[in-house]
Amino acid sequence: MKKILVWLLVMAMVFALVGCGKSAEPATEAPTTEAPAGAAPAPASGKDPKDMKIVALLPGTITDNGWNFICYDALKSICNEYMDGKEPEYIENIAVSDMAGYIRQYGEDGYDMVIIHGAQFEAAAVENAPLYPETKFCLSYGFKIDGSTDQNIKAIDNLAYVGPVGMGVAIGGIMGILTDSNKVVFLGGMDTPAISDITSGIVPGVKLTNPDATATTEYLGTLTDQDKAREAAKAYIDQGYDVVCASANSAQLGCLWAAQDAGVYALGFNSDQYSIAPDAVVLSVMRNYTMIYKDVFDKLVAGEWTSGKVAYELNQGGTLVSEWHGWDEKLPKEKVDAINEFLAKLFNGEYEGQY
Amino acid sequence: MKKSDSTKLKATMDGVLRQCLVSVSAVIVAILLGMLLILLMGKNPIVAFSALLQGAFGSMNSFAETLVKVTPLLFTGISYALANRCGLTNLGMEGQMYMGALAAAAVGIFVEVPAALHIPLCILAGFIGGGLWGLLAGWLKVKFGASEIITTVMLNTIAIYFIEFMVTDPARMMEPGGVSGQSSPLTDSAKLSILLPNTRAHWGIMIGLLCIVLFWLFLWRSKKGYEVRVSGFNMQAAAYSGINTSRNILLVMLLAGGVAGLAGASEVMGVQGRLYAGFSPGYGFDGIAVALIGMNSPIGIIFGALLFGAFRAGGNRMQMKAYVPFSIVNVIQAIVIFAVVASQMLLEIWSERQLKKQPKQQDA
Amino acid sequence: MAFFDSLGGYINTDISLATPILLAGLGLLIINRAGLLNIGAEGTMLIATIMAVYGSYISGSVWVGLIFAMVSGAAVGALFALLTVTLRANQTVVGAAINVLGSGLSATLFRIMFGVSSEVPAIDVFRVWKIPGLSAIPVIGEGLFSHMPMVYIAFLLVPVMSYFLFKTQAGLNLRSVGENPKVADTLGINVYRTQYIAAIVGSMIIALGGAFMSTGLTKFFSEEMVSGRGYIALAAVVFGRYKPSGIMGAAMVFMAGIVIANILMAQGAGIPYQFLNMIPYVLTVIALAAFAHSAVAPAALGKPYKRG
Repeated sequence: MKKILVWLLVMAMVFALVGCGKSAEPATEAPTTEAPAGAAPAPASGKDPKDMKIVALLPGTITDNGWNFICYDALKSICNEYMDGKEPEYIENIAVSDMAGYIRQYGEDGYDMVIIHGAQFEAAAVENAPLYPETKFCLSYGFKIDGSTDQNIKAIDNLAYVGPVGMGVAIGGIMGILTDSNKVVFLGGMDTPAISDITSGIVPGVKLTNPDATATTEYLGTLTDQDKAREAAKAYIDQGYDVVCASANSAQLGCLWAAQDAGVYALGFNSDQYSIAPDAVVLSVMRNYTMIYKDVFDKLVAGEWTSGKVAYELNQGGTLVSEWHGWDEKLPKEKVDAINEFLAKLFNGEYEGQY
Repeated sequence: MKKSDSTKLKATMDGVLRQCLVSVSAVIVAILLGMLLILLMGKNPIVAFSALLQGAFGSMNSFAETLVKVTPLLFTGISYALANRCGLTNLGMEGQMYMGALAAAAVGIFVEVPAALHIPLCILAGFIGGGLWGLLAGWLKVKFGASEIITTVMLNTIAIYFIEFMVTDPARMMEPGGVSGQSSPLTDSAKLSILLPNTRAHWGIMIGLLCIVLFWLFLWRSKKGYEVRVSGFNMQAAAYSGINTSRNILLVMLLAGGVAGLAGASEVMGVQGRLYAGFSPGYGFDGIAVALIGMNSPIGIIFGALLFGAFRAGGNRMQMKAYVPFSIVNVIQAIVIFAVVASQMLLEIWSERQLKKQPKQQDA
Repeated sequence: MAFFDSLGGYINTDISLATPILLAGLGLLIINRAGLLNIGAEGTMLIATIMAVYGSYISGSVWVGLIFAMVSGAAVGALFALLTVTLRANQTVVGAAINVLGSGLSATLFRIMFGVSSEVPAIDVFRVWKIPGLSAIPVIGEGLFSHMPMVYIAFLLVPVMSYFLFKTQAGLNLRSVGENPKVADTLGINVYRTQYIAAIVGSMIIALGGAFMSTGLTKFFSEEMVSGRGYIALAAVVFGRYKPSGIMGAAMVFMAGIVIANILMAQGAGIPYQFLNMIPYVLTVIALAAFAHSAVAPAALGKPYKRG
C-alpha cells in the first residue's frame, strides 16, 4: 500500500514536470521588438557594440509587472538592436546587502556597462564603482522634483545617476483633470526612492491643472499583495476618491481592478495597462527606460559617456504616455482636450519652474 | 570506567559518521533531483551546476562572497538549533536578526567611543536587541501558552515593518538628505574590518565560529545546557525531575534570539555599514535548513551554513549562465531539506529494525 | 450616518478578505485534528494560486482552475504525509520546507507557463453572485449576500465540517487519532491511513483558499501574493479553539484589522503605513496570548505516531 503510494507520487511528479517542460516552449516566446538591421552608429569607443558586455542588477524579479520588468525589457531591446538578439544578462532578487558583491564581480569580469537598478543601492555603487574604472555603472536613480535628492550625487567618473524627472507631475496633472469629485489618490508600494520620487510630483502636478482638488499620496506597504492593495484602493473610492493611480509592481493591479469594479478612473503605470482594466484605465504613464538605457548605451558606444546626474526631463522623452485606446471617444471632450493640452505644454517645458 | 567511556565514544562516533554519510548522500541526491528538474525545463544542468560552483568557489572574490553569506547563516543556524535542543521551534530568526541589526546600528551611529570599545558595544547591543525580541516570544509561551511557532512568525513581520519605519524618516534614523530606506552610516569605529584583502569577507565569520564554540560549551559542558537538552527530550519529564522548564524556555529564547540578533549586527557592522529596510534575503529562514542539515550539532551547522551560503552565492551565477530562474534555487533548497529529513528518518527506522532483529538472533 | 451607509461594504470586504484564511484554516483543522502539525499552508496556497490561474487560462473555466489547484493541494498533502506519517519526520521542518518549495515552485512555474511580459492575460475568474431577494436587504444584503460562489462555499463548509467532526463516526475516528493514536489503533482505526487522508483532504481545502485568491479576489497570479495569510490561518485555528465556527470568527476578526487599517488610511489618520500594516499581525499575537490557554490542542498534535 505504502509502496504504491510512493510510486504514484513519484510518477505524478514526473508527469507534472514533463508537462511543464513541454509547455515551456511556446510560452516563453515573448513578443520581441523589431530590430532594424545596421542601425547601430559607428563605434567611436573602439569597441563593436556587439562585443560589449552589459548586465542589469535587479532588486526584484522580472515578472513583477513593474520596476524590474521595465529594466529587463529595456535591456532586451538593447540586445535585440545591437547584439543579434542574444539573451540579456541580468541578476534578480538582489538584497541591498548583496549588491556590493555583484558590483565587484562584474567589475572584475570586465563588463562594459552595469545597470544598478535602484537608488537603494546608491551606497554600494558609490563605494565600489571607483574600484573598476574600466566599467561604466549606471544607477537607476529617483529624482525628486524639488531637487532634494541631487545633493546626494557623488562625482565619480564611471558612475551615472540615471532616471526620468517629473513623471509624478504628469500623473498628477492628468488626475487633476480627470476628477469630478476633486479627490484623487496615488498609492505607492513602499517608501523607496524609485517610488517616492513619483510621489513627490503628484501634489504639485494636481495643483497645475486643478488647484481645488485634494490630492492624497500614501504607501500600501506591499509590492506583491494584490488583494490588500485592491481593498485599500476600495477604501479610498468609498471615501469619494474618483481617480486612482498606483506604483506598486504587481500589487498595483489590485488597485486597477478596484477602480474597474467601482467604475472610477484609473491611470496605468510603468507599462500600458489598458488591457488589465479597460473600463477604468484611461491612460498609462510610463518610465521610458527603454529609451533611457539605450541612450546611455549609445553614448557609451560613441565615447560620450557622462557621469553624475543624467536626468531625462519630460521634454527629453524620459516619460511616456500611452495612447488613448478609445478613451478619447468615451471621455467628455473638454477633458480630452484639457489633457492633450496639458501634456503638450508639460512636455514642451512650458510649466518649467511652476512645480 | 575508562574503557566503557571509550567504547561509548566509538559507538557515538560511528553513529555520527553514519549520519554524516547519510546527510551528504541526501544532499547529493537532492542536487541530482535538482539537475533533473533543470533538465526537464529544457536547460543544461551541467552548465547550471558548474556555474553554481564557480559562483561560490571559482575565484577569491566569489569564495569571499560565499563567506559573507555563511556568516549570518552560522548565527541563524545556531539560533534554531539552540531552541530546538530545548524542544522549542524558533521560526523568528528573521525578525530577531532585524531587531539585532537595529540595536547594533543605533549604537554604531549615535554612540561615540573608541573602536576597542565600540565594536564590543555594538555586538552586545545586537545580542540584546535580538534577544529581547526572542524573549518576547518565550514570555508569550510561558505566561500565556501561546505557541512560539506562530508568534515568532508574526513577530518577524512586525520587526521588518518596524525597521522600515525607522529608516524612512530623517527624524528617526534615516540619513538626512540621503535616500529613503537607509540609515546614516555607522561611524568607522563601529565597523568590522575586512578579513581577506580586497574582498567583502569580514571578521564576523570569526565571531560566528566563536559562537559555535560557545554553543558547544553551553550545551555539552554546562549544567544549564544539560538541563536544556533534557527538556528537549521530554519537557514534562524534565519538569517532574525538578528542572524549572519555564525559566529554561525564557533563557533559551533569550540566547537564541540574541544569537540571531548577532547575525543582524554582523551584517550591519561588517557588510552594509548602515541599516537598510528589508536588508535580509531570508537568512533567518535558511537557518532552519542549516540547523537541520547540521543535525543541531556544532560541526554540522558549519557545514550546513557552507552549503547554503554556496547556494546563495552561486545561485545567481547559475541563473545567469544557464538561464534558469533564480526561484529554482528555492525549489532545490526545499528538495535538499526533504531529502535530508527523509534520509535521517530512514536511517532511524533502519537502525530500529536492526535493534529488533538482534534479540531474536541471540535467542536463536 | 456615513459609517452606517458604508457598513454593508465593510462587512462585505471583511468577509471576502477572510475567505482564503477561513478555507486555509478549515484545511489545517482537519490536518491538526488528525494529530499533524502543518505549518506549510503558505506554500500550499502559493502553489495553488498559480495552478488555479493556469487551469483557468488553458481551459477558459475558473472551475477547471479550481480542480487544478485541488490536485496540486492533494500532491502537497501526500508529500507531507509521506514524510511525516510514513517516515515520521519533524512536522514543523517539513512544513517550513513546503513553504520554501511553494515560494520557489510557484515563481518557477509562473515563468514557465506565462513567460516574461507585462501583459496580464484575461482569464476566467469568479464573479459576484447576488442571492436573489436576500441581497436586496439593506446593509446585510450587501454585506452577506453579494459574494462570489467560493465565499458561500467556504462559509457553508463551516457547518458541514462541524457536523463531520463532531457528529459522524469518521469525524470521531479522525479526532481520536489526533487525541490518542495508540488507543485509536487498538480500537481498530487505521491511524496512518486516517492521517494520510486528513493531510491530503486538508491540503486540498487549503489549496481552495489559494485558488480563490488568484481567480476570485484578484484576477491573476503574482509572486508571493499570499503574503503571510497561510501563517495567519495557523493562528486562526488556535484562536478559533480548533472548531470550525471558531476559525470563522477568528478569520473575520483578523481581517477586520486590515479593514480598519484601510479605513484609517483612507481617512488620512496620519498613522505611518508600516504600523497600519502591522495591525493584523499584532492582533494575531494578542489574540493568541489572550486565548491560547482556553484552546485545547489535540493531545497528540505534532507527535509522530509509531506503531507497536
